[in-house]
Amino acid sequence: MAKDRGPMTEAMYYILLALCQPRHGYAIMAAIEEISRGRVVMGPGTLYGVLNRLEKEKLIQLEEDDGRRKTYSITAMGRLALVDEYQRLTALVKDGKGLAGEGEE
Amino acid sequence: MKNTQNLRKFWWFDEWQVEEIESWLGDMAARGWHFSRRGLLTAVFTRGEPEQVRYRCEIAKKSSPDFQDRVDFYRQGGWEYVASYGRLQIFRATGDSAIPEIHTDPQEQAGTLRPLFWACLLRLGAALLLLAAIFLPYSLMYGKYLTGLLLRGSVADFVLIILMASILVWMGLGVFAVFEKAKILRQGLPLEHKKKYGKVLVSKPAFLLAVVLVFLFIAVNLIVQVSEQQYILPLPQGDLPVVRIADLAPEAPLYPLEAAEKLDTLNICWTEHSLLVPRQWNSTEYAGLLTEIVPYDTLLVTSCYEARNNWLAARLAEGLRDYSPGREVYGYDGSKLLKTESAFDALWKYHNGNFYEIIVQEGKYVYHVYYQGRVPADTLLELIKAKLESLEDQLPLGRDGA
Repeated sequence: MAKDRGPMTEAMYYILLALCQPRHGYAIMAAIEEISRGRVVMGPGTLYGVLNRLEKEKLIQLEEDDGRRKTYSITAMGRLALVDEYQRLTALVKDGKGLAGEGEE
Repeated sequence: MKNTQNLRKFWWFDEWQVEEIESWLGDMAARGWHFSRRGLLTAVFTRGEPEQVRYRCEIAKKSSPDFQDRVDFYRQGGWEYVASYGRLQIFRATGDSAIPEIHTDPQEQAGTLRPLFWACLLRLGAALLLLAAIFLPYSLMYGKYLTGLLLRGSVADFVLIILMASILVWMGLGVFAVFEKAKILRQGLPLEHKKKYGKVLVSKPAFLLAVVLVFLFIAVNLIVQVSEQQYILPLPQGDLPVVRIADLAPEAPLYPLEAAEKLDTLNICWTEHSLLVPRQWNSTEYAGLLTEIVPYDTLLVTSCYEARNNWLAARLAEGLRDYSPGREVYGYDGSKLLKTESAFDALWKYHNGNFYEIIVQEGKYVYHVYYQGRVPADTLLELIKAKLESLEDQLPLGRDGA
């Protein structure tokens, strides 16, 4: 079981999603916008901060650094954390659906 | 050398006034003045076209090894690095509001505030240490800061306290502001990039000017105090507001003592004053008093204080009772002084054989005496009472022993 770190921020979740495929900074931002169909826009500051933290927590790794751009990709541990979070979110939605069904609105 | 392409303005903002800085720089750009770099205490603007520019302060260390990385990364995102202010790295993005903000996730951004918070907390700590340092001299000299303030405190001392309090509040505001910003961000709300800064541009220079003036005032006061001549005089033959050895037994002859003639710290008097205790008389007297077969070495070390009111006199008496530098010489401490019922408002007494320490508080007067002699202490107390009553009745004479 992946250690319980509490809920992920949206930024973390989407970055991990985007890095299921090796990508570099700017491309990550574009990928996130695409994956979320324009709903989530990521600023460079948020991206930079989260990338550093995810790397520290070994959820992502540096694939390649050609001096100008750093390419990251998700690690096995990162995939585990991502699946965990996905399941958590799904459970949230599922529980909510039941409640919404009971409502009269 | 006046360069019409450049404008220098004083930088009045604190490191934690992030939103105000962003707002101000944006307004300047809208008027055609573009922030280009920082001077020592200033910001330098270059002339250009009025533009809608977004400035954002990022909390990061310029000395960090990956700072250049960050700059490149942000550039790719449309944000150009301009200058630094302490921990704040200032970036700009021109007009195109399609370029996303540097921080799009408030929760994540809240985390970036931590270094700023610690910096403000550290500054608050430094101010507290400074305050403690200010309390130290009087505390060491008089056992309690309050006693020192009563006896020596001038207007400058009180002004200094007010100054320190203001600085503490200022530092506290910084800590509080960063805390509030983090709270807002954690709620998922963004910072207020167009925050009003007008008040800062007026209040900050006013505050700093006041600090400078107060500082000068205190410095001048200190110089005056240090250079003020302390007039230590030999005891006059005439009248003093304190009880003299001769008063103890008016008929008995008085003999000067050899030791007293050699040392110049005996048989002297001097005066002091402070804001709260405006008249202070001090004297030491040492002579042989012949009341029985042989002269007895009699000592009177006296301090007589006139405070501005009874409450202050009571506080002073208590302070002296708690700690008095003279006592250490004789090898006992304030706890040995016992409060006694008497005709005075307050009376503390300690005695060891023929040696007495007495503290009297009557109205706004405090009388503190170390006495060694054969004449009973009760006689001394009666004389003290008489002296204080006559002081009370006296019109202010301005007799400072001069």
